[in-house]
Amino acid sequence: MTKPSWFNRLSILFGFAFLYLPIVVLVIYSFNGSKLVTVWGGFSTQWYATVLSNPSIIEGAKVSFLVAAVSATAATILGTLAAVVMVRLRRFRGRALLNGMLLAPMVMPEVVMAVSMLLMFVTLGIDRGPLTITLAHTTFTLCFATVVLQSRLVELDPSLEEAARDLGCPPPKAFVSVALPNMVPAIVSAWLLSFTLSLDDLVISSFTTGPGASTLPMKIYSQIKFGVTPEINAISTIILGIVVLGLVAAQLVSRRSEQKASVA
Amino acid sequence: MQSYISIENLAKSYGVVSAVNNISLGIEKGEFFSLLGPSGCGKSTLLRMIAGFETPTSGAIKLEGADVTDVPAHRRPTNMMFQSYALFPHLTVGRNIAFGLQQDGLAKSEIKKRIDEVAEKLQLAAMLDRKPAQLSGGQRQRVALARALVKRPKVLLLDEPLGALDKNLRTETQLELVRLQRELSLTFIIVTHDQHEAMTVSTRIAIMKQGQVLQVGTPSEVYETPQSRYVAKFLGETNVFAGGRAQRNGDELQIESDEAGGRLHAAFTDRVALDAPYWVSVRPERVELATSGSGLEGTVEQLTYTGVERHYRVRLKSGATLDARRVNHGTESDLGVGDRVFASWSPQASRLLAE
Amino acid sequence: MSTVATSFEKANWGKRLLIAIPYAWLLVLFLAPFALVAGISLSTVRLGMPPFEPLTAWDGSILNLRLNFENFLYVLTDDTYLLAYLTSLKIAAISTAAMLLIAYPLAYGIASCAPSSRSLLVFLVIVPFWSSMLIRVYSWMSILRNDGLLNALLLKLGLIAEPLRILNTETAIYIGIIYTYLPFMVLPIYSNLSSADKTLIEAARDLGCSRISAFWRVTFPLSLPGVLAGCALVFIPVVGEFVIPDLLGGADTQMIGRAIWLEFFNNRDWPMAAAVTIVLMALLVVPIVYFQSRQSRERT
Repeated sequence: MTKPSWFNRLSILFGFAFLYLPIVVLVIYSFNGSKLVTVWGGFSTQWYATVLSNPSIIEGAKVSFLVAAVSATAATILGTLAAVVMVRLRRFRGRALLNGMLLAPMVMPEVVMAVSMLLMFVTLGIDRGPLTITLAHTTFTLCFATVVLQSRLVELDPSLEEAARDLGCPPPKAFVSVALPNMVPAIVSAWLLSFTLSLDDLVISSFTTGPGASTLPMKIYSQIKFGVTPEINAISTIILGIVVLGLVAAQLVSRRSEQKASVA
Repeated sequence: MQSYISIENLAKSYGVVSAVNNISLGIEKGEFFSLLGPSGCGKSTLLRMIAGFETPTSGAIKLEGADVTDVPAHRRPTNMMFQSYALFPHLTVGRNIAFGLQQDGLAKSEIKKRIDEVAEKLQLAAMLDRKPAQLSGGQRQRVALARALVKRPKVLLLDEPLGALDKNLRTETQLELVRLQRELSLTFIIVTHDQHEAMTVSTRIAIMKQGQVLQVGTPSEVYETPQSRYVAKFLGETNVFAGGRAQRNGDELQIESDEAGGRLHAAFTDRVALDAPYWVSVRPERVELATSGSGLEGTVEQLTYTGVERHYRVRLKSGATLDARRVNHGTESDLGVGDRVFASWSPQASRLLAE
Repeated sequence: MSTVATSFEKANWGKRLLIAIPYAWLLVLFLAPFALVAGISLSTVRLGMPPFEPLTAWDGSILNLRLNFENFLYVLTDDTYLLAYLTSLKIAAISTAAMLLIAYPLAYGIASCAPSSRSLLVFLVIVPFWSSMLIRVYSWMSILRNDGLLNALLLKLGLIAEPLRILNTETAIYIGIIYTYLPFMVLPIYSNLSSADKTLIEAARDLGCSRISAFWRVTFPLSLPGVLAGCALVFIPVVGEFVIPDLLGGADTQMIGRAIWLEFFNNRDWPMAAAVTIVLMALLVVPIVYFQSRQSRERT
């Protein structure tokens, strides 16, 4: 495997064409002046204007961002606790169950989690709305955040903390002052991952919301159900732009912290 | 005369970096040949070119007179024992050993016979059904050896084969390798950075530095008559003093050395040009220390006891240091730190070296 | 002595608290809800909120427990549900296999590149995964429609005379699933291949393997854990997928995720939806347990 062969190059080319062609089409047609997909009606930004002046979309975006920000923060905090518990406290009663509960949501069909959480909220008598969506999102993104944090914590040399304790830090302080700063890149990516997953979710939001609170994906979904409109192309392009910007920024941050680490 | 393996003007460069620089070597059938040098000297690259993993930039590799330079690794009659052993983790020991034979399309009964044979020779018979992860380091090393040997290669290539073993096991395994090599009368080429290992196992050693071979010879040749300061220092320890004006006196040379602070004696040979810079070297075990008499005068600065020997570090009057050793005969040392001593050695113990 | 004991006890309490917080969260919001689903699946539908009868009732001094197994009997005997389960499993199996055929060469190709370009390529695999799934499914709608891009292209090239009906068919579901879940298949295979020991390939070559036989005898068997992880990561959620069959599939292809959705929102029969969910979980128990044991083994 010294050099990629023509077969390797071809598979890469084909794979990426498949992954990106639909997205490229979407972006291009968001600037189409015509309402028809097959007709190019000249470059236009009119659909963006329509989107940005649509109060229902803006309202949905507000709900989505609020829910995503709160649930990502909660999931990251809980995920850090869970990662510490799973990595540092090797033996305690009920470890297997906790491990199972942390991993299951990763593969559990969304519908299953959605149904079960809805029934829980109804049983507890909690009014459904942004709060219940946030609780549900925190729960299902928690496992992804934990996986990210756990894999970083496993790599982290425990002798760092031991050194801090040897120098007089009590264990909790040793963790906060030595391990935590070294986990910042993982914490950032855990938060971003949770945030995006929450922002993207349709199924769990639909089940756990109440009347009046609709997230952006719910609004988009109901629009799509009516049919393909260029407006959705424009919303999609805006979301894609935000995601790409966020990813590039995250990449730069983590690369710089890596460089810093390698210099030090 | 054509050697069993001949390496002719072989060179390998990666871009502008040259890893192997125009090496020519002949290795005979049945030799246990070592490529010895520090890391980055090109010894592994040379071995990997012989195995067929690297394509030389120029030059040729011939095996029994046939040019194999462009033959890919899987068609070469050479087999390699990897430094990491490279045992297939998904296969049992038996299937690891069978791997190459299956690839050659041998009959099942023949494969079984050959595995049993090699397993017995290497004491692996009891662990054929185990996976590599269940073995100890020494056992893995034997499986890697068995896997390569079972193919009956014309040449067995060993890339730092004992690096992962602890010291006691390593010495044991070195002797085991020599025994096997004699028994099978195969040709072995081993890459190592451990001069002790090279001396122990080899029939001949090639000492390499920066992509070049500095000297080839039997262990005693390279140790007793090194041809350069580098070889002398790399193989064992030695004292080296810059030589100055020299005068021939029959079979003997009398050399003035400012560095040593006195006159040194050496047997006369015409190998070293005395008008260019040259050095006089003497192995510590050949130096004799006395409390009186003639020779280089100095004080014992350090004395270490290793069990087998006592090591003395002497600060000469010139300011240079001289190391000397005495075999432990069970008596207390008559020399202590701070004692004044005179160091001398026979002219035959001196070696004249070019750069 | 006493200070050691107190600090030990303090540490112990801290530890318990540390364990208790995530534990309590998951018990209340993850595990207990499952028990509830199981309970409600044995209940009877009624009008009002919540739209199901409680399982227990006090009748004077007697505690009545009413367990209604009718939902399960119905789910397990009714053709529409059976068909939906089978269709879901079939679609998940076929699309997982097809995805493997695309993902493996892609992962292998990336792993064979120089480390410097690898990280960029991996990044490019991840980008679509981070962008909204709804959007990605939607992008295929505009491509696959009767008056969509693909048909326009094929008509222009003269390859077809009539627009092909692709949207609202099973084919569209396959395309959507493969497209959406591809990164989940590529990444575990890639991470396995890129961490593979390259000297093993050299050893195989040294022992007489050609490039191709070295791949099949060494690289591929060693990458199986990555392949299985990718398959589990894809197969299980796809079985319960809702968005893709709902937007790309037709009325004639019913997948179980969509059936649950309809039961909930259109029929408002929560006990029945709960029963369908429980049966779905029962179907997926084996692959989920496999996935979990693999993951936790990897982590220790």
